[in-house]
Amino acid sequence: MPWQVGEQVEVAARVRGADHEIALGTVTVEDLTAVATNLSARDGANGPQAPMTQWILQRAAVHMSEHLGQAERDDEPIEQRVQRVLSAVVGHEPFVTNTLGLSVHNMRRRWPVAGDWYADLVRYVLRARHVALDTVSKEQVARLITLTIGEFIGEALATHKGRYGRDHLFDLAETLRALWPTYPPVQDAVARDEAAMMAAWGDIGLLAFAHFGLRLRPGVTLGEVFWGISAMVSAQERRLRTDQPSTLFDDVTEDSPGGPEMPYAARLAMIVFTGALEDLDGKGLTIEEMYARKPVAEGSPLAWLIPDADAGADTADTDDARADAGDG
Amino acid sequence: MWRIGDEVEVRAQVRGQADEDLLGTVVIEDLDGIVQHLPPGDGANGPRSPMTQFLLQSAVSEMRKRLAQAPTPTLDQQDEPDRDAAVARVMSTLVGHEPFVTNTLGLSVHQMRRRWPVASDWYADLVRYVLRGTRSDIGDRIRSDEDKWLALDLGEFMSLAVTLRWSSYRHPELLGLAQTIRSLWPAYEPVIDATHDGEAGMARWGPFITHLLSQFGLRLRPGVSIGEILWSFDALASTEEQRARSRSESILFAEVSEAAPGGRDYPYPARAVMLILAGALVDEDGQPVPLDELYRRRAGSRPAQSS
Repeated sequence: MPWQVGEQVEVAARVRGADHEIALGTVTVEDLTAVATNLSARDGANGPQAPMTQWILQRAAVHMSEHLGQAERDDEPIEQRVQRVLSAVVGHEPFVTNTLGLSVHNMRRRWPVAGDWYADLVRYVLRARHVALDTVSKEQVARLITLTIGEFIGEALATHKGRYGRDHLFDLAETLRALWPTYPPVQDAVARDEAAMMAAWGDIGLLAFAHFGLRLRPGVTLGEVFWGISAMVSAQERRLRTDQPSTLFDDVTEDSPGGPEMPYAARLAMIVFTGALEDLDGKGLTIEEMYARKPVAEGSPLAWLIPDADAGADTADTDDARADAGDG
Repeated sequence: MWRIGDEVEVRAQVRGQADEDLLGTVVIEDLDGIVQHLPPGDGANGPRSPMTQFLLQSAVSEMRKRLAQAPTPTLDQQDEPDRDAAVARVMSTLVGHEPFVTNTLGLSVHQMRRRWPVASDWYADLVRYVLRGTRSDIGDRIRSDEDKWLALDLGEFMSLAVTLRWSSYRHPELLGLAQTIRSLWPAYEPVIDATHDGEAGMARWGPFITHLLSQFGLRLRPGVSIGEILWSFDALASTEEQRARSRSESILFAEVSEAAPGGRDYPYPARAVMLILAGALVDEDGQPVPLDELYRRRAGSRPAQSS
């Protein structure tokens, strides 16, 4: 029976135990030939265009969403939904007794209430994204700040994920964020990560621009530059987890600035910098100039990080340098 | 009592045993602010206690195992676990195969058997079905109404394009589930296929985007490819979609003032896209266009400021 794509069709079938067909619902017929590729039949009543096929898929998606606690329901707030799912995935007291084989008191003495245990567990997973700056040694920093800005960003963003320090949690953290974005521990973690990023990088960011003799163009704020780069780093991390390169970068050649080995987010960060930064005379740079931009010969606010350069420098000099860059 | 960074053995009496057993080791972390439901401090049941940290660490392992996110095996490992089988195990719990039709929908099992006799085939098609829901038709919308779009300045154009992308999904109700599946199993074949299809779909819009930019008197700087711009647009918009689902504001835009190009309420991803365009584009004479001029740029004419 032919069905037209876009046509709204009523789906009826015999429910078990009934002696006649009843209406199950309606579907708007879609072209699912490239989606339902594993069907035994390619057309007809059991094929991808058949209303019953599409209704089964539609109901299964809704069912899955409900099972994962994603479907919003007035009678089940987000905390309860999360608790329902985590109870099946990990459990509260049975986790300690059945999975670990320990006394239940190990849980009861700490988290007597299941909801508290799940909230703390979610926070524990989400801490995976807190970047551990202290894993970068002073020697690494001293070398990084002698590089051109293109080399610096290429290296910094290529090794960014390694600095999370808790790689094994990363996928799970991404999943929890995607699963329950309105769950308060997830919202708290997102806000906390942003605050931590500004606290850790806010001053350093401005100093780093000044280190290259650059500053933000009028009307551009550091936060939005961070947001853009952070979003692209996240997208790059998600993309790399598929273990396959993106075809959208096929046109990047050896002749392209940075070359094909430059990480995706780093390529885009350099484009963002070209749009967002200017030199200290208020002049913009071309992309090639931006990639090749070297640290200023004298008066870098980051000079104190280079062991040779800070010989003899005292704390007051360091503070002055920071203050100068901040004022600039 | 315990110092951060210390590697500590965790021992306890396993049920049925007379003595304590070695359960494993933990490297003590500062979990203040993370573990909020325990009294802070160094007590035996506090956030810094090895047993507390062992419980959390073990719970994470359990979650990863149950969600089929255990580590990808290396080549030299024997008995490599089958990723598809792991996904099928989770899908079997979440949805099910024949019992979904019989128990959940109350229909005859033949409704499933005639279509997907093999459970893993059913799960793969279901994942593809969910992921198709987030294909956007924003490109079609712009092309079918090009004159109206070209009447906007570039700042308005980009703001509308980003905003409409959110509402142009064929099945927006599936967005959260699709993001979850992508996060859960990025290397599962149907997810990889969907990612490739999405990128191939974007790449097909490259010539049209180049054409639109030319209407604004703009072109790519040498060394920048249209694919990179499309990737960044998608990356920024999808990151924002995830944030939008959380219904909370980003603090990173707190300093954007009313006087900033686009104003304070300009959408986050559109603001970032405009920064990228300012870096990626030049005018017909090969000159860069400052950000504020780019926002005001109109199709078919040059703003007074550009010479």
